[in-house]
Amino acid sequence: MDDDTLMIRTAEGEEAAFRFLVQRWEKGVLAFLIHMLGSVEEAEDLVQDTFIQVFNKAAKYEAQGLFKSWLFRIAGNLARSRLRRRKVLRWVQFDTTEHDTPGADEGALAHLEKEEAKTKVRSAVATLPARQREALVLHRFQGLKYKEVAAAMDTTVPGVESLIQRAMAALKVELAGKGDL
Amino acid sequence: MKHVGDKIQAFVAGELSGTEQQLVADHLAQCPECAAEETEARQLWDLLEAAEVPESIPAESAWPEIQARTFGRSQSTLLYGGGLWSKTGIAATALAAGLALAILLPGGGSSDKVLASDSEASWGSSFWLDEQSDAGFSEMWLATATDGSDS
Ligand SMILES: [Zn+2]
Repeated sequence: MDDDTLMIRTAEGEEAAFRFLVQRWEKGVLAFLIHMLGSVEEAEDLVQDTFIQVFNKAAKYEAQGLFKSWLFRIAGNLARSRLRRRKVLRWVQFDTTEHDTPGADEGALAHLEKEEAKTKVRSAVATLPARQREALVLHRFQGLKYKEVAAAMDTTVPGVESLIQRAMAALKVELAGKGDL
Repeated sequence: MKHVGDKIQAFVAGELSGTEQQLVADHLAQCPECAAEETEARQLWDLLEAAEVPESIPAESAWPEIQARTFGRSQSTLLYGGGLWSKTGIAATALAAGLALAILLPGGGSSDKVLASDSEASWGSSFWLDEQSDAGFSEMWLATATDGSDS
């Protein structure tokens, strides 16, 4: 069932529809928020707040096939206001060591090297300016098209193109300097 | 020959229109300079996969918490009606706050102590529920619980 239909049914009070929507999108929203905030715990908080807003705004939702953009706009707004309240933009590198266990055919050393490479790339993404990071994460990790990113971020397609281009150029400098490229 | 450097990112991302995509592809086929840029852009694109949040996060769905704050709440409205509900809501909040405080209090705390902080905490939380949007719930909750443990 598509997202628009689920939203209409949610607005009509059908709990199962809302549950389906939450379970379809919570992983993506969480991953996006982890990239935006750098903290799994804070991100988990805001996942809840995001879906509470989805629920509260369901009646006003206009079903035009733009659910993804609408959803990430809500999550992005929450993330940005959380960042503003922090005053100093602090970056805690999210730790996933307990989640990434070595594969069966992978030695401990190879696993460690892979983890180091991941940390490097993650912190490179983490140090991008917030808007560049937001555009890049939505596009690269959440699979939104430029058009959808533009709708989520209240900007234009050329605006997104430029944000992503600048993000990639910065990443190139950051990672090439460290021998990863 | 005009280079296509500014189109390469969009090309790699598959964001160009059919005609543009073809023009860039034609150029790449005959310009080693731009072709090298394209290779680099693809490598960087692939490298980013390492920054992806692992599939194993989160370990559990947030649905139970979200349910409790959405349909879980409107269920109470249906059961008890608007006026009664707010009282029931306060009682439920007080009970939950008491439980949270009992856990937070060092050494468990005496039952008197829990009961005393209990009523304060419940008013704080329920006031908040009425007056604020849902966005800051967890923070307000934590702040209330922390106040209680000081007493
Ligand atoms: Zn060229």
